[in-house]
Amino acid sequence: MNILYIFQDPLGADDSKAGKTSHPDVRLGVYQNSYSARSHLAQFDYAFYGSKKAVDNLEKAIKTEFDWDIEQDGRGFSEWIGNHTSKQVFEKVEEIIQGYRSKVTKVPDEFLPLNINNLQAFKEWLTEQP
Amino acid sequence: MKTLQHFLANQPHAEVQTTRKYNKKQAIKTFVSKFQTPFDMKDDAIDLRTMADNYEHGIIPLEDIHQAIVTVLGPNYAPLEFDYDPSEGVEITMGAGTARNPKFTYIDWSQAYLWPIFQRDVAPNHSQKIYVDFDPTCVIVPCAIKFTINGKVYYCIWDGHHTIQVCRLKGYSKFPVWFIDTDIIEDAVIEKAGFNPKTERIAYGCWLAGHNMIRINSKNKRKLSPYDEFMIKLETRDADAVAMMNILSKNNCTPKRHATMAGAFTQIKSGQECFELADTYGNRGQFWDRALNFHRTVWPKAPLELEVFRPLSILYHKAATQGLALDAQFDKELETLLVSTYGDPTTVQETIKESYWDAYYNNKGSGRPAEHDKTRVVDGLINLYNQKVNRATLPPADYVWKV
Repeated sequence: MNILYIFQDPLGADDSKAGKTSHPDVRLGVYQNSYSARSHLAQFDYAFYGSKKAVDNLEKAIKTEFDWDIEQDGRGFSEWIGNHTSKQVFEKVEEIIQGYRSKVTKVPDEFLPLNINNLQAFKEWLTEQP
Repeated sequence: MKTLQHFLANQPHAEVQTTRKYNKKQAIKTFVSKFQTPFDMKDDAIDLRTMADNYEHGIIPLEDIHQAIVTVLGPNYAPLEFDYDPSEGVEITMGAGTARNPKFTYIDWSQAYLWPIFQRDVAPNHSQKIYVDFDPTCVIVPCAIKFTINGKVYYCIWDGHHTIQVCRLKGYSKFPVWFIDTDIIEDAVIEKAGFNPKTERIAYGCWLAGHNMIRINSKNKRKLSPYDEFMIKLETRDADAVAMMNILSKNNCTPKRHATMAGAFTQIKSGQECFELADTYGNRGQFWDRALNFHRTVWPKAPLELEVFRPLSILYHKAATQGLALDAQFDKELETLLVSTYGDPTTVQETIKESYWDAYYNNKGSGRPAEHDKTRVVDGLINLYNQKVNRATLPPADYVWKV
């Protein structure tokens, strides 16, 4: 399963992260590492799924589009888009998907935000899709 | 449940001491924000053509470009002060007591020499190339090193040899040179380079000239990029460049060094190759025009993808050459096919090529394998269309496989 995800800084900044993963459970775990789930449960506010190539190329297009809003390059920095809420990033990503005709599909609202508690249900739903 | 925000909000404020390290992206962003017309600033190029839009007559002070360079390179490159005046010759190396070099002069032809140990062979056809295009207003000053051997002075050219030979062919009697005078170099400088100043002064000069020759011609040479060449040709009204630009503009495409925007055209040489594809009457550009129109219509936000617009240009050209009419309906069918099968243009060409290699290595195809990506994608498009739509008659694919 290849996922393009977007989530907002859980500490309150209007900055959002857009990234990709083929192991969303592991990625959610990595984000959860830094704080207790009693403070904040790591989540993807929005997500899209598709083939590895489609997701890879969508991520490249997003980085190109938000070039100067990504304030710093380097490990841990290069996916943070400054001064954009996750909703704003999501809307922009939807425009990119339309303009690039990317073959990805939005994760249904019923599974959003996607977190470790509903990830399995989403995976099962996905296997039932044609 | 208390949230982290709640936790943080209720902590006594502790000042966190952080010294932010130089952040290139932020420095560039701040720098560019001072200009009305923003422009790209990357390690490999600052977009001066767009930067020039901010200045009267489009003429930029070098100081502003200097500031842009320092912004990209970082604060460590900014000189502490500007107190170095080379107009009387510069020190050959930094340090006390060094002689001042190089100097500028005009020399006679009889004083001009070449010492092949630090120069390449001469290419008469290169001199011819310069000769044909010669203009005395664009002679770059050749560089030389001056030796005195047994009382005789030699100015040995280490850069600009072809140019100075063409000057001679054009009848020059005096020749401008920048030269290093080995006779006035301090012993300490020669010693520092590992040579004996008493016995190896000439050898040191040869080493310096050879070193400089490689620095200028190889190590630090920045080749003119196809993008810059195209833009210069465009500004100087080269007919082909203007025709190409007309086609690009018609399709809302922009020549760019980097694929950073919708319709960015970065693959200049390949674009020229597509532009050159002519119909039976010798008219060029129409197949490339159609390919660009297809690309921009189907993927309006994407930069131009070389391995999409080039195979398409070739396909349209092949069909026309073979008398096969590809109507507008064909473009519609192809759009639906590519978007529903692959989606974005990068995925289109990458997946077709992967499919080709799978067929090739597993003997799933037949015919003549393609030698280049462009023909692999052309064959892939033909095979895909024939397998899924098969309405219009297309030129035959050289290599047939199930895409």
